[in-house]
Amino acid sequence: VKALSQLRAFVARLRFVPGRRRLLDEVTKELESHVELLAARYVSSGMAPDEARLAARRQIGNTTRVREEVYTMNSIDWLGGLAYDVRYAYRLLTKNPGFSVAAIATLALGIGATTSIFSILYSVLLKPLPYKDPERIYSAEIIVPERREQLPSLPASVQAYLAWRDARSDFSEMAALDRGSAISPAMPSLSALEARACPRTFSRFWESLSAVAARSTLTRNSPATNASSS
Amino acid sequence: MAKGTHSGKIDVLQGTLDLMVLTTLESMGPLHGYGIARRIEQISEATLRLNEGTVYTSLMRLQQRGWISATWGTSENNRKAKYYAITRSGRRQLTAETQHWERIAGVITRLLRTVQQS
Repeated sequence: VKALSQLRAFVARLRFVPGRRRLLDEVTKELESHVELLAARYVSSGMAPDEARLAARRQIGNTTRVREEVYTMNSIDWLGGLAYDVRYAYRLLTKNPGFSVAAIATLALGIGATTSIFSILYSVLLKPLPYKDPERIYSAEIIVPERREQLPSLPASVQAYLAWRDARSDFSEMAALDRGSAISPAMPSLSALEARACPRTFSRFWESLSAVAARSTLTRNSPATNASSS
Repeated sequence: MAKGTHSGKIDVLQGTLDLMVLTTLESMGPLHGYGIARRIEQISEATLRLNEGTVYTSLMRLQQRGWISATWGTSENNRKAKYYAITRSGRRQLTAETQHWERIAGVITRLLRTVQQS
């Protein structure tokens, strides 16, 4: 409850911030007329005007301090500091437009590049494939051990695909895929691959990358041609 | 407070000026700062030493809490002056503060009596 009332007091104070200069002027006027009224009172009770004025000043006390207190009460220190910083930054930037443009362009390019690199990396590597159990989908390729230097992997030929499909393998289903488009022999779950809206280059990149990752698991099945998967 | 009694006048106790200003506005109706100072002087029968400028700090503080409101008006001698009036929440606050003050004063009075007796 105490915190709430403090918050309310803070919010109430905020209302006075925009008008703090006007309020300060008003308090200054009030203090002046207060001194005059007091002095007039002393004069009417028989005091010399100068003396009356002095007495009035003594009675009202330190007006500078009152004005300071009123002004501080109506301002929020960090807001004032922030406004000062912003003004200072603005002045520096306008004083040196060439430098400002360069700095702003650098920032813009840096932020833009970082964002686009991340979005590419995300769609290529990080985003899970839009299928059920994406970790169970592999791409199969042919590796010829003697020629690995020149050809790390070869795409599966039609013959190889047909042989793999008819042989008993560890895969529950198999489909052939020609770059972006799939020839899919009655396999509803994998025919969805066709619908994958992915730029061709990226999907190829992904396919070869996945082939490397899963190679070891399949090496024992077919020693001559390695079906690799991921 | 230690310096409170020299030259026969009592300094205004920390935090009590707001209460005095509120009471004055409650009993006298809308007043300007000078009028408030005169009224406090009159009631205290010159036993209170008040830097009258601090009345304006108090008035600002009370406005911020929403306990008083201010409007410009014309004073008796045809000057423009800012008039202050107590608000409804100011009256509530005054009741609460008065009770609080009386409880504290009561406790301190009892305490001082026991010290005197023993």
